[in-house]
Formats: sequence, structure tokens, C-alpha cells
Amino acid sequence: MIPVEYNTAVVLLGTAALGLAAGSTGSLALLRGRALLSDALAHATLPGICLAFLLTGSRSHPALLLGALATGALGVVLVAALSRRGRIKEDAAIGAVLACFFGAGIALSGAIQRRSPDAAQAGLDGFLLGQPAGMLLSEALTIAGVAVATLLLVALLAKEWKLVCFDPDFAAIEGWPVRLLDLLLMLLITTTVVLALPAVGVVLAAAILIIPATAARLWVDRLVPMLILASSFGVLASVTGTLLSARFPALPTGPLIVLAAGCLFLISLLVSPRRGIVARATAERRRRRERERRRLLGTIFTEQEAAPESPVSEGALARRRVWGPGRLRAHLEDARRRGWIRWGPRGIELTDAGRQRAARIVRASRIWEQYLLSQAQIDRDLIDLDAEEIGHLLPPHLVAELERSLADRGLLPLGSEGSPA
Amino acid sequence: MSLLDATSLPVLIVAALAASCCALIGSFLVLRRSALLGDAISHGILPGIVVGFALSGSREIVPMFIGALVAALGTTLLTDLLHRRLRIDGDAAMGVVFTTLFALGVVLLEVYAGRVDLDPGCVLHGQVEYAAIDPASFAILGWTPPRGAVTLGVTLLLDLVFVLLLWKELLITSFDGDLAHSLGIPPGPLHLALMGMTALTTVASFEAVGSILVVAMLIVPAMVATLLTDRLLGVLLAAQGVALASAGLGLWSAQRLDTSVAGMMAVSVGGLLAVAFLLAPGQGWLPRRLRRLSLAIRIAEEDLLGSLYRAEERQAGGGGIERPSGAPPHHPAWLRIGAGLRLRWRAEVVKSDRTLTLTQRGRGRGRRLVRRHRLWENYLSDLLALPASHLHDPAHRIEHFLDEELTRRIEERLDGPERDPHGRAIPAADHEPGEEER
Amino acid sequence: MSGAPPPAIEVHDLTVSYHAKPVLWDIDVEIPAGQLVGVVGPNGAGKSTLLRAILGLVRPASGWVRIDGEPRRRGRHGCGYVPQRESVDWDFPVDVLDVVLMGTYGNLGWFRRPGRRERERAMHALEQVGMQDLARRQIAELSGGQQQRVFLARALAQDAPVYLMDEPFSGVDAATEAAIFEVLRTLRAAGRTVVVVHHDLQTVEEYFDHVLLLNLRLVAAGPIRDTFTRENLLATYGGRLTLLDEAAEAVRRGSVDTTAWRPPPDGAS
Repeated sequence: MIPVEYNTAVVLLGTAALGLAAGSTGSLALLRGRALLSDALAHATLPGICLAFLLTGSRSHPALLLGALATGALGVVLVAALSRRGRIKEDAAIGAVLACFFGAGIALSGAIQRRSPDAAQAGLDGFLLGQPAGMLLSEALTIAGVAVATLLLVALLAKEWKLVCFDPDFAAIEGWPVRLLDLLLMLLITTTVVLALPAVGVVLAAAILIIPATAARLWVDRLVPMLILASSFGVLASVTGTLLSARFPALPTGPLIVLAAGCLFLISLLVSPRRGIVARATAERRRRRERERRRLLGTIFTEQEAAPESPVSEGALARRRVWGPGRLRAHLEDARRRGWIRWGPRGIELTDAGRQRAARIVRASRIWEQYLLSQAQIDRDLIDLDAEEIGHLLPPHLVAELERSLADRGLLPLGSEGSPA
Repeated sequence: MSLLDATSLPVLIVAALAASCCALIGSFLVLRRSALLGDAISHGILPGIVVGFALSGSREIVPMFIGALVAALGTTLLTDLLHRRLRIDGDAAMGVVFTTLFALGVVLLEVYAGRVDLDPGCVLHGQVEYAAIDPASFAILGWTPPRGAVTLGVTLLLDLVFVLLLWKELLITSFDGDLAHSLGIPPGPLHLALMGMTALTTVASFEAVGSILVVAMLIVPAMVATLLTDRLLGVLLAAQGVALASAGLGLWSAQRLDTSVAGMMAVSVGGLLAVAFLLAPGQGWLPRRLRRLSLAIRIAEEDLLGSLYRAEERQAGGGGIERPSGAPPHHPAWLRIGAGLRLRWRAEVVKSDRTLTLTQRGRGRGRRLVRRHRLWENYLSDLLALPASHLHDPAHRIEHFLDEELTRRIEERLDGPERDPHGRAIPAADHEPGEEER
Repeated sequence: MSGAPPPAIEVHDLTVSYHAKPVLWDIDVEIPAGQLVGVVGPNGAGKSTLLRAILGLVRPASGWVRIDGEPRRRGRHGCGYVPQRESVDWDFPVDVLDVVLMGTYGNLGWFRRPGRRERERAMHALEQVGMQDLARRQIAELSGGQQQRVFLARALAQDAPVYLMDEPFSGVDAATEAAIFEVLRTLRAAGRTVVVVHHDLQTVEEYFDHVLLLNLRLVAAGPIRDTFTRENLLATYGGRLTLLDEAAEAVRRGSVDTTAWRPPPDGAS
């Protein structure tokens, strides 16, 4: 356990609660295609913060964040209005609102700072990249409260939002108020982004929504686990970032939190068991090796089938030009180790086990071939040329029919009938 | 304070150059619908800039540019890898990559704080004023230009060369990547080249306008331009105009309000976008509204003429009718009154004793309308075999849109019918003025 | 009219335009209850748009739709719907059972979670399409035909009197096609009305009782025997009526936004 000071503990509470809320909100935002809109929203809050300061002269968070809420929402409305028809695409509208509102915020804060230099300490600058260090207990508790409310709302409306995110047309047909649910979701996103401003700042607020959710998606395939995992990632990133910044006070907390989330994403990308790069690469390599083995066995089998009397020589296999000489030798050696072939006096021979497997492979590939040739209507995703077993892919009567037509032409490999051992 | 005095002029030059080269490259980003890639790159290059800066220890653009180029290509390729190969949602992939890189850049800024003379605030919102007073290391004819102006000038030149050299390739890949591919123009390398130029332009400009406001200068001028014109050259030129105007406006308003020039440039270009969105001829909101209004008035006018004509038909022999307004009741009252007034002003109807009467001209227009209506009813009845009860509504809708040529061809197609499906006579195309009065 | 049951779907003078370009012109048709109805026509004939207009997913420029003699209810027990496969993101984090359960949400109402009864209903629907073994499969791992069957199962779970299906037979293998047709026949036997957008002219006569021939306008509608004739097919596929197309184009050019302006309810002719 790392001993933490009181201040750090307060900040930890605040940022952890923020990460909790941002994870689930971000997941929904991501699935509804609102990820980059939330970035525009975050940037659009800056002029609101400055205006609120100008109007109230107060540097208290509630006042400033209300201002942020107002212009943030205005930015979202403007994105919708700009891209509603014709010429302007949504992504361009997002970029324009993001940059122009941010510019307005910069201009306003510039004006404020030149007029009353102490405003620089008022923490307006802190809203750019976040400055959670000065967080008060009351503020942290507020964030925690809102985070809990967020989670409750998500739990309550998970079913409805799942439907709207997956298939909004279907939701509309079933009578769900899609616009209302969208509006609620947008409100939730806005609240979370605004809540994130004191901690991670205008520029990176959207990151804490997007990154944990995207990372979580790499691990799980269902919505509720994704929400839970994204929230956990959010908390983990926030805690890591906050502790790091407590250890190295010179480094800004907000970017550290985002960087920690980025690292979580990178780790997920590498090691996630299903969608990770490592898992994919190993699976691909294994698949390719298997395919080569099958191809070798199939080739030997057909060579022997064509000329049962003469043995299969390495030269004959090499003449097929499928493998280079070195490769071929390695594959043959591998097959021998696995007990599928042996070096007979006159060349390569299939062992019994090898013959059985080879016959199965050839049978499967001929059935597929026959299927592709004879069927006009094909579900392409269903075809798996790597599969040695077809029973679970095609209906049995169809397999029987294909086998019959193969057998009629003497193409059904001997020793492959019936189910394999 | 004038924009052209000794202190303002260098600022104006730097601002205008930054806006101009951003708008040039940004136009292609917008046309290729990768506006947000500009956003991603401008954020993503930050760590590259910082590392380049830290390693060289100077504000020279070359090391920074190399760092930025690496980071920009990293952003592009990483986003692409995540999206294409690993099937992560495109927006999310982009969001993850550029925010993480940006956060990395900010942290690196602090790590190298001792060696790097870059202020995070300055990186975010730029300092046109400083870029303009920092002098270059050489002089032209005894005048030392601001270093920012030199950098940006060279960048603008490079951008121009790039665009001119690859004009048709950029045009065709922006329009249709597959077509370009089949013509032997590889969209991939060209895309990367464009990303490289975006990175260069962003690096050169970020000192002046900051890494976020550069997004405004990259994409907004081109957005305004696409609202104004349809042609590629037109878009590029209009974007330049918008960029220069926003530089001038931004500097002027920043001096008035005593605030950040870069911020006001972004606000100005946003304001221009708003103006174009509302007022652009053709695409703007107000012109659309006006066109819709004028269409509604025309339809109300024609409906009024048509019903007056039908009334005349009923009371064979012509003359006035008793109804104060002949326009069908489905138009709102103001529209009916407006249409009536306009028709009287154009002398197509006259009003006497609270009755409206068609003039010669008005009768001609009414007759042509009724003719179109009945011909269309015949067309629907003969060729689409719609029942008689379903003819009126569609004919009533289409009668306002058929031109003479199309009407004549419909008549030909129907072999010149004399009566509509309800048995009413179809007026002839044209009467001699004398015949009209029967 | 007295005594006769109301038509399952009644479409009156329906005109739909996208961006001021008309895609359906004055469609006027009654679809009888308890039948398998095919909607046939060339590409871009507005078949999908007709379904979407019946479902209320697009706002018509004019006309109205009634289901079971009543204005379409925006709500529960309206229509079962099988959209085109491409209309959703198949990378969405849900499994097969989740998707089918969505068909029961309408009856569940706000906030309540699907319970055992809904689960049973969903499993039953999956059995009907022969997918019960794949209930826990992530949807991204399904083949095209399997995805189609999932959508069909979801529609079955809706338990609606009227079903609208957008090209359920496109891109599926023969086995899936047979399975889907079997489900359609079961639905008809249970007295449901099923309207199917169909692209394969070969199988129209085999599959459907009733057919709508569509090409921008309604060319013909009625029982297969009288309607699915060579003459009507030629009229449907033999190119569009050029004058109609040109008139449509004239409307598009002339109007700013046709949906903003509706035809009058009545008036002199």
C-alpha cells in the first residue's frame, strides 16, 4: 500500500469516480458513434467557462461548470444543425465547432488575463489541461455523487440504450422514443465531459471517455461486461495517473491519466486473448502451419492415388513447385515426426494414421469443390476450406448428395468413409 | 491603431501566411472527407515536435518537422491499422491515437521543460505576436523579416508546388479513389504525401496559431468555400479569400478587444462559416427559405388563376365570379392575399365590386395550368391505370412543375386527347388573343 | 365493406421523396390479411422505401398508411420487421440471444429486464429458425445466412400480426432459404400477414400468394395468378416510363423541399 497524503487521497477519490463514470458513458458514446462529437463538446466548453467567470466573477467550480455545460451543449446543437443537410459533412462540422469554439475560449481567456492578471491564478488556465491537484473534498464528493448517479442511470436504461445503439430503426418501430433516449445519452455524455474538465482539462476530456471504452471492447463481446470493464479501466487509469503525478509533481495530472489509459489500451491491443495482436498473430501462424501440413498430406495422397504402384518421391513433390526444396524437407520431417509418413525403401509412404487423415482432408476439399460447383446459392461466410469436418457446416443430406456425385466419378477417397476415429 | 503600422504589419503577414497555407492544404482534406484527420494530425504531431525540439535544442523548423512528420505518419498509419486490420471503429481509433499522442506530447514538454523553450499554453493556442517579432537570421535589402514569416512563406511555396505538380492526381483521388487506382494513380502514397504536407503545414503554423486553432484554419475556410462554389479551383480560391479575411478580421478584432490574435482568427473564421451557412447563395439557409417562399407564392398564384379559369368555364361566357378570393382554401390566408395582390399588380387579374376577373394574360396562365392538370390526369389514367378518384391529387401537385416542352410531349404521347378522364375539355396550347374572349 | 375484414395494410396515395427526389409515386394499395405477399421490382424501384414508409421510418410527402384498419400505432404490437442485414453494425457487443431478446423489449416496457419468460420466447424463436445451438455466439462470428436468421428470430419474438421483411433471401444459401420459407409458411398458417421484398423472380410464384409489382409507382397488385403475368412484368422491368421520370425530375428541380409542401385535401378538378 502506498501511503498517500490527504490531498492526494481527495484527488484520487475525485479522479477515480470520474474514471468510473467516464468508462460506462464512454462505452455508450462509442457504440452510438458519438466518440468524436464528445471531443468537439469538450473543446466547446472553454468559452462557457470564461463567460461564466466574466459574468459571475466567481472561480467556484459550480458556476464555471454551468457555463461549460451551456456552451458545450450549444456546440453539439451547432454540429447537428451544420451537418443536417447537404454540403457539410458531420466530421467537418465537428472539426469546425471544436476549433472555433476553442478559439473563442482562448480569445476570452486572453482578454480576461490581460485585464485582471490575477485571473491567471483563478484557474482558468487549469481548465486547458486540467489541474486536479487543488481539488477540494466537496468537489471530489460531488464528482463521486454524479458518478454514482450516472452508473444508476446506465443500469436503469441499459436495455433501452442497447436497443437504440444497435438498431435505432427497430427501436423506433417498437415504439421507443429514440430521440428522447438519444437526448438523454447526449446529456449524460455532456455531464461526464463537464465533470472531467477540472481533472483532465478541455483538450483531453473526451479521451477519458473514448480510450477506456475502446480498450474494454478488445476484451469482451457483450455490452454489460464492456460497461463494467471500461469503468474499471477508467478507474485504473485515473488512479495510476494521479499517483504518478503525486510522485512526479512536475508532470501534469490530466495528460498522465490519459497516457495511463493509452497504455492500458496498448496493452489490451497486444495481449487481449481474442482481438489482441499477439493472439491474432499466433492464431494466424498456427493456421498457416496447419494448412501447409494438410496440403502436404493431400498432395502425397493424390500422387499415390494417381499412380498406386509407383512410390512418391521427394522429387515428384518438388516438381509441384508448391514448396521450395528447403521448405519441403522441413515439412516432410515434421510430418514424419508426427507419425504420418515414413521413409520407405522406394520413397515416401503414408502411415496408417497418415493415410486416414490424408483421406479425410482430400474428401473434405473435394466435397467443398463439388459444393461450389453444384450450388448456385452459396453463403460465402459458411465455407471454411480449412475444415476437415463438414458435418457441422453443411446439412447432412447435402453432404450425402455431394459424396454420391463424387463417388460416381470415383473421386471419393478410399478409407475416408464413415466418421473418422 | 492600424493594421498596417510598423508593429501590426509583421503580425498581419505571419497570420495571413499561416491562414493561407493551412487553407490550401485543408481544402483537400475537406474535399477528401478527411477533415478530422487534420485534427488528429495537428494533435498527434505534438510529441514529434517536442522530441525534435529537445534533440536539436533550437526553434529551427527542420528537426521539429522531421519529428512531426514521423508523428504524423504514425498517427495516420496507426489509426488505419486499428481501423482496417483490427476492426476498431474508425472514430474511436482516431480518438484513441491522437489524444494519447497529445497527452504524451504534453508530458514530454514537462519532462524536457529545462531544455525546451516551449510553453504548453503557447503550444495550445499559439502566439502570432511572438512569431512576428522574432527576427530571422538574415536581411533582405536591409529589412529583417520575422522568422515566422520566412518559415511560413517557404511552407506556402512548398504547398503551392505540391498542389500544382499533383493537381490532377489530387483531383482524381479526391473524387474517386478506385477510379484513380484503375488509372494507375495510387491513392495510398498520394494520401500519405498529403498527410506529410499537412504535417509540414501544421508544424510551420502551430507556432503562430497553436495546435488546436490550426484545425480551424485547416478546415473551416474550405467548408465556407464549398458552401459558395462547386468547382475545385473555385473552392481553393474562395478558401484563400476566407483565410485572408479571417486573418485580417482576427488581428483587427484582437487589437480592439486586446486579446489573443490566434483565438480571434478562429472566431472570425467561425463567424464567416456562420454567415455563409445562413446567407450563401444557393446553399444558405436564408436563400433556401426565400426560394421556398417564392415557390409557395407561385403555387398560390397559379391555384388562384386555375380556379378563376375553371369558374369562367362553368359560367360559360366568362365574366366575374362572386367569390372574393378564388384561391383554394388550403393555402394560408396571408399567402392567398399576397398571391392576389401580386396578380393584380402584374395585371393578371382585376378586382371590381369585390370580384376578381381574369385579364387576358391571367387567363392564358390559368388555361395553361388547367391544361397541364388535365393532361397529367389523362397520363395517369391511361398509362398507370390509376382509378378516377386518384387522379386529382397527383395532378394538382405536378401541374406547377411541368414546363411547356414536357407538357407538349405528354400530349403527343397521349395522341392529343380532347377530354380529361372526368370528361372535361382540355384547353388547347395557345389561343389567338381574339379567340380568348369568345 | 360491411362484414369483410379490413385489409392488413392499407396504403393510400403514398408519395415519398428523398431530398426532393420522388422515390415512390402515389402508391395506393390494400394488402389482404393472412397472406404471403411479395414486393417485386427492379433496383431502385422503391421497394425498401415502401416498407420503411409503412413502418413510419420515412415521412411521406403525402398519403397515409393504416394497419388492421387503424392508423399505424407508434408502439407495441405494431409490425414485426426484418431489416436488410447491412443496416446494423455486426461488430456490436451482443450475442445472438441478446439480439433476439430485443424483439421482446416492446412488450416489456421501460426499465424491466427480460426474464425467464422472455428468454424462453427468444429460445423458441431461435428454434424456429434452427439457430438454438448458436444462442451464445457473438454476432460477428455468424455467416450471412445465420445473421439473416437471427433477424428473423427477433421478428418472431415480436409476435406481431403483420411482418415486413426487407430482402430476407438475399445472399443466403439454399438451406437458409428453405428454413426461412418454412418460417413464412408457419406464420401464414397462424393467420399472420407477411410482406416480403423479394428480388428473385424465379421463386415468386412458389413463395407468395399475392404480389405487388413496383417501379416508382405501383404497376400491379393482386393474387399471384392474375397479377404475376408476363405483361405486368414487362411493364415493371421494361424500363421506367420516361415521362414519369422526367416529371419527377421537374418536381425535384422546381421545388426546394417537397416534403415542406403537401397537396391539398380537396379541390376542384
